[in-house]
Amino acid sequence: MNDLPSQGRAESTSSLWRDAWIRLRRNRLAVFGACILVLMGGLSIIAPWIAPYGYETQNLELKAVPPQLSWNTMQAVYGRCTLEQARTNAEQLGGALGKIKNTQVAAKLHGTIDERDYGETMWVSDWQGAGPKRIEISPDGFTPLDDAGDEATFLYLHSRAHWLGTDELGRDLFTRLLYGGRVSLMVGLCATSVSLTIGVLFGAVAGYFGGRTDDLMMRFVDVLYALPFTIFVILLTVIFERNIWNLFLAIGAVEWLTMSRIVRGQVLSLRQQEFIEAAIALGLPRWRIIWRHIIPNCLGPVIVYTTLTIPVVMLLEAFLSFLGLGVQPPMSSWGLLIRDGSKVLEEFPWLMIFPGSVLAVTLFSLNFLGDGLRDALDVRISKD
Amino acid sequence: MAILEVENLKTWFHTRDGVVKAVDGISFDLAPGKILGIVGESGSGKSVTVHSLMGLVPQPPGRIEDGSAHFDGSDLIRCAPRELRAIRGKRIAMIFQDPMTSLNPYLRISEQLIEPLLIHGLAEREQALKKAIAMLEKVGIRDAAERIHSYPHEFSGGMRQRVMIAMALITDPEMLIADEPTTALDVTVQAQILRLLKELQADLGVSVIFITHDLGVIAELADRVVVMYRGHIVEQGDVLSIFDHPQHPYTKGLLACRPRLESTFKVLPTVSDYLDEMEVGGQVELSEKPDAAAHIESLQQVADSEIDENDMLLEVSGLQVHFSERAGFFSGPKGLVKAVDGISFTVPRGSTLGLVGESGCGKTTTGRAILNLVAPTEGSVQFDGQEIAGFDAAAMLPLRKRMQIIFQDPYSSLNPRLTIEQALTEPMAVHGIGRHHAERRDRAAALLDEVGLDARILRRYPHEFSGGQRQRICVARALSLEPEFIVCDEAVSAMDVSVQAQVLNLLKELQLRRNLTYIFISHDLSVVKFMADTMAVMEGGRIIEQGNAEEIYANPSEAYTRRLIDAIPRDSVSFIRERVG
Amino acid sequence: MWKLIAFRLLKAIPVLLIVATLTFFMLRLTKGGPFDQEKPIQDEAIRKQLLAHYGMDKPLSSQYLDFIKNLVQGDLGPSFKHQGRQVNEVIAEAFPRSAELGLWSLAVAMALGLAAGLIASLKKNSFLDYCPMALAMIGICVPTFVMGPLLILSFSLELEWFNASGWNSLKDRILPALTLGGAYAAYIARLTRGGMLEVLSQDYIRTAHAKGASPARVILHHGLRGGLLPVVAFLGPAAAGLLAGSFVVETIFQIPGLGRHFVEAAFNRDYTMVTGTVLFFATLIILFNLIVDVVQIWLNPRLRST
Repeated sequence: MNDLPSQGRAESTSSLWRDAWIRLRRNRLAVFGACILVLMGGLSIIAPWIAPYGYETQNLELKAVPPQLSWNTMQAVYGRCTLEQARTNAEQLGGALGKIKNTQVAAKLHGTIDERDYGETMWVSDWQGAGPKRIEISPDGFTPLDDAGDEATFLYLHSRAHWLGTDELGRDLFTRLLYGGRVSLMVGLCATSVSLTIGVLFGAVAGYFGGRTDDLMMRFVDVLYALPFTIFVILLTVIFERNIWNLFLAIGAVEWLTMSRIVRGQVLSLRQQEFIEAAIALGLPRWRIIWRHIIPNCLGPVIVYTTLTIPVVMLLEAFLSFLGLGVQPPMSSWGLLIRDGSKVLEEFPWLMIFPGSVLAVTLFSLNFLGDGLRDALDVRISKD
Repeated sequence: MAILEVENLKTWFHTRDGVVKAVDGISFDLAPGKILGIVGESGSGKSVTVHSLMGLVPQPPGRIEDGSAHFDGSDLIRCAPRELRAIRGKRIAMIFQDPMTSLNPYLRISEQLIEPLLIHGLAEREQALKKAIAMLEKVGIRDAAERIHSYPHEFSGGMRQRVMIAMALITDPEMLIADEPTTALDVTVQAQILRLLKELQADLGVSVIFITHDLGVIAELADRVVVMYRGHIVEQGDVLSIFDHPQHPYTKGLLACRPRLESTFKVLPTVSDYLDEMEVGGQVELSEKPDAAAHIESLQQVADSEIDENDMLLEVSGLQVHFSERAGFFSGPKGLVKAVDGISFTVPRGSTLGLVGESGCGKTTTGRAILNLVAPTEGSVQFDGQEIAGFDAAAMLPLRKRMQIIFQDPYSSLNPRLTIEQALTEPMAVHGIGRHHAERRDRAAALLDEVGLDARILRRYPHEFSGGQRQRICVARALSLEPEFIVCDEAVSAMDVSVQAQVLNLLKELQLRRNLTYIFISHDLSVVKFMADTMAVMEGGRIIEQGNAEEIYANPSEAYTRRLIDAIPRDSVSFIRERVG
Repeated sequence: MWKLIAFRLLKAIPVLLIVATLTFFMLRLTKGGPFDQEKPIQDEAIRKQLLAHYGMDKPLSSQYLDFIKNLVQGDLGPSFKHQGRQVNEVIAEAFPRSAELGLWSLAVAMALGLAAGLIASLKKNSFLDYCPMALAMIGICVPTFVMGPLLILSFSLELEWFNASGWNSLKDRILPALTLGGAYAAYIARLTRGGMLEVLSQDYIRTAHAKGASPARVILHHGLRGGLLPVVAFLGPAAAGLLAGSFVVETIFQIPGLGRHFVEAAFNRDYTMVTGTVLFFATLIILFNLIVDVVQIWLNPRLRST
């Protein structure tokens, strides 16, 4: 019952944020989720630089091939390497060398290259094994830098494998997953931001002013709640041009309702806290009360709910894309890949399983992180 | 032969932060037909004790490490769950602290009342219902035959506690455990419930364990007393000897630190005046301070401040605060709640006005309306000769420096995201007190020192402090603007008595030092008696009696005031002697 | 209670009117009509005739008035794409299939979700808690349009227990209902667990234990009602979700239900069909929310008095 502070710890400072951070770090699932998300986000951001192919690049020779870590059939696989390395590779492959016969075969090979390869050099030997000679890749095909015969043996130089296989159009699935991640995560973030902005503003205004304003605003939310939302999003995406920005808007515009209710509830309960009354009694200006006393105390639930909204939004995007109402090909998004994959499930199951797993793992991570944040920030979300 | 023998009971909680020894080796007996009072402050382990007996300790994290509790041949601690269930609710019944949450809101009262009879196979449904109605009548609920089919939310708190009592006693148990059954109730309702319990106990001859933090209730009710502190029993004995000759310094402190109607202390003794706590090898050693009595005597030598009865700091007249209730958005006002309905009073500079009344009487709204935290509907509030009723935020701004408020709940009165330093310097910055932050921080440190806290806590956050410490911080925050007038709204109501005494002393000391004027709002008449020079009794939004505090206590002119005063548990030794006879 | 229901039904009318108006104008104000896509009708005369047939040559305001007038009489007009058929007929034909799918799914969701949630809440922090909750997490994170094809792959194509598509025998109901109901079972499991844990920590549960009630009685008699309230409250949104989910599931399993009609109509700008189905769905959801509210009031006596 000693009412004096424990003197020894007088210097320690531990804000609620720090405590929450420590609690969050203890939660292994949440940390794991966060790591996965950072990885996914990072990969998506640098996708154009690390993707082995372009997202539209088709290799008609290699339609719907299963995942392979290395590749040694007739494919123009090439890379920057010295003549010496090229020769060694060729020797190792022995009889597995293919042949380029005339322009016809060259054209086929050309299907395996994409824009990024223009200007690259590949090595080709003639069919007697003499050579090798250098050929430059250009938009028009292969331009021999030296004299090349009509026939040439294709030289295996360097493997750029299709780690996750290719789709029916011969596009690399790994590449398309990376690019699809960009779209899916972007939709998740942007649409959530839209809903966050609308929801927080709307809820804060309703909660802070209270009374009749609050009544009117919340009645409006109630009416909207009663509407079949997914249907409206579908309508919106059908009516307006199907581009990615409209998708953000459409999803964001329907997902703000719950956020506004949460923020309103939080503000209402804060207004009854005695420290707000004390702040008024101390003569603090209104903006200061809002900025220093109300907003920081609302942040917890907002952060948690935002984290949990992202997966919902991503799911909605995937859902729309699955119905063919979202991102349009040849752009890729996870939902779109799943849609394409599900059509050929029996023959080429990997086309469905890989995008499905990536989406699921991302959603898992977001949910784990959200749950972890909820526990760490000690937030109880009630949606009324 | 005792009906219950508890031997060396140990209940520990294994939490992430370590082991909490909530109950650490206690032994006591309960004699048949007697009332045993267990008294202690929060965290003393009194509730955990009885929960352990009833098998209601959540496990994990709780664990009963050791001990036995013999009740009619079975050991409640060790017996099989099935055996315990057969005893629980049939032979040992229990009532709980908060009647608002202890009844199942989804089931009719009738269902819940007859449940013990049905579970233990004591009656058929029809018969049980009849018995339940009879029982409800016995606990003083009128029209029991109709009201038995109500749901709990249709009953008031006092009524629900009556239902709880009926439910506990319906099986004719041999033993009743009452865990702070009156703590959540208004004082007049508490008096009724205590009287009811006493009557029923005498009537049915049931043995009772009564748990409370309030020694007054013990004095009214108990035959024997167990005093608990930090998981241990520090003293036990007959009620008379405990009150007449307390042996342990903690008991002495606990008895002395309560403001009582008949006492004339100017400064309340505190538990720490008596008790010395020393940590020796991980164990806390309790001993008595040698000079306790002399020290307390010396404290009483404080001079009273002189009050000029004509120098009014605050004059309130005809103050009304009405709230309109609306049923729905489109419907107009449904009704008008007259929270404050035309009250007038004056407060001389440097004095304390005590505002007392039961919950819902409008005392809190009055305090808020004076500070314009709620808009007064009508009437005038003159502060130092200036009319301020209905001032807007801008007009109030210069007055905020002069008028402050301290709230009931120290847990919600501090923004959890601001350090103590930020909480204390923010108002100073807004009002331009202090030239720069360093100066304001020095002032904040000085304020902390003044309220008895270490200045080094400035960089810490509110959640690291106990309730009493937080309330001190709130006092410091209110003082940061150097006010002349402070409304204390139930400022000590949520505290343990020992902490309450310290905060009350602090408030008195500050009043003398700074010539502060207080309005002290409380439901507790003895606390108001200690603090106030003049007092006003409120009921239903009106002041029904006001005047000199001493005189009102001595000669209340209104029946309601009389009832309030009578409802305070009597705890004089002479009363106890008479009672136990 | 009846007053409440009547009042809510009355309130639904303006909501439906708003939905109808919004949908109507949103569709009309966009570029491209029902006859502009794929094979544009070249002959101007035929085109005019078509427009006149559907009343689309009139000014927008009178089109709207006609639409509302018919709507009040319950007539949703002729479909643009299903030649010679009324929207009412299409709905009447397709809806029973969707409704059946919805009901089966709801049954699956409730049965699985409640069981898993209850077990988890009673065996908190044990294997029986972690296991169903992990499954629930999977149910939430693996979308229906992944789950459905996976179920087909394993149970229809590999094991050959079920048909991969169709809606003929009772057996055909199993996979679609599992797909659609599974996700909602997951939500319900989580809500049940949360609700039960919340309720089981309440004071009145302690009271029930103190009466000597057996654990089973405490849970079933005292805990269940309060614990299930969040689940009941969720059924409103869940119904809306099932509806949307049915678009996907009907596509995957090739069930000729209303969901597929809606998506197709939306693609083809079949105005009357879209408006009709949207209105129909909105009515359904409002009705369902009303039922949910009534159940909530029935479960919670505190709501009854207000």
